Amino acid sequence: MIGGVVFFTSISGALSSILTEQDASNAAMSEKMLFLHKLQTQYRISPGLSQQIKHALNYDNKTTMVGLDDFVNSLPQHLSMDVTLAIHAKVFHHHPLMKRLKNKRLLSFLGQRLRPQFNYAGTYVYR
Amino acid sequence: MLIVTSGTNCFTAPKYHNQIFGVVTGMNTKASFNENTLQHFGYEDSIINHLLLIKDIENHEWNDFDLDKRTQTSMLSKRFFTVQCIKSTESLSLNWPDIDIMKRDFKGAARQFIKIQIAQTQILLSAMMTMVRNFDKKKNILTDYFMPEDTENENMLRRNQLAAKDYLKD
Repeated sequence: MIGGVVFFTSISGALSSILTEQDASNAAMSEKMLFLHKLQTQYRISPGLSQQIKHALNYDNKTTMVGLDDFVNSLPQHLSMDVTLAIHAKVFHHHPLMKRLKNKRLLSFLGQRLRPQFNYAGTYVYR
Repeated sequence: MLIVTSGTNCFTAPKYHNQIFGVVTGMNTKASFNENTLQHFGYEDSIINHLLLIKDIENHEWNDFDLDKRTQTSMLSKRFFTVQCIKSTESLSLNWPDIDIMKRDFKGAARQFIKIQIAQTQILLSAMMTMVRNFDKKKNILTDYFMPEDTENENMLRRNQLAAKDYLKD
């Protein structure tokens, strides 16, 4: 019973920290949108450019998983493996490199370490 | 290292007017089913740097101090290939420290991973060599660099030039 209480406490703590971070990131996002609106009115930025900025900000906001590491680490080992495998299921099942690695523990490790990245057309990724 | 999930990147050679010699596509594109396209990149430079290191060790009689200097991370992390994004790309990145952990904790899988990377580097190098070899040869925009220069290719060149002339007449 004590174990159950400790487990429940740790899970609820991790979830509450994630929700707090989510709120903070939403507030930061709305602040950025306000600033963009100011820029639009003050410097007459073209609608196309402002649309691109909005798209970039939205993408960053969606893909930022600040509390993911803490949350996954707070789970029991078998659950943390399943969670990371579920998050990147599509990549792990269909990507040729991942399909060839076939080690569940390794895939779970990679799942915790992989970070999303976005590159716009024309930019140099490596040079 | 980047695992591309959507979009398109390409390996280019800045010394050769940014010619493309390798294409990396995401899993969502039709081109990803083509066996000539790659799905990840970024580790090839490390393979090349290690090959150069082995060559240097063979060619020089170094003491421990020289060897330490040559094997510093800064010397082994030089970029050899240039990769440019040609269609906005979403990818998953894996850092060097994480790859080092993988090498230490998952030795069998890491060996398999490095074998895959070596095979990909060989493909890229041969594609680059073919591109360099054919760089100065006559060609037009409709034929690519990877076709051998045979009579069929010449015929195709002639056909394409005629088609272009007809198109320009209209």
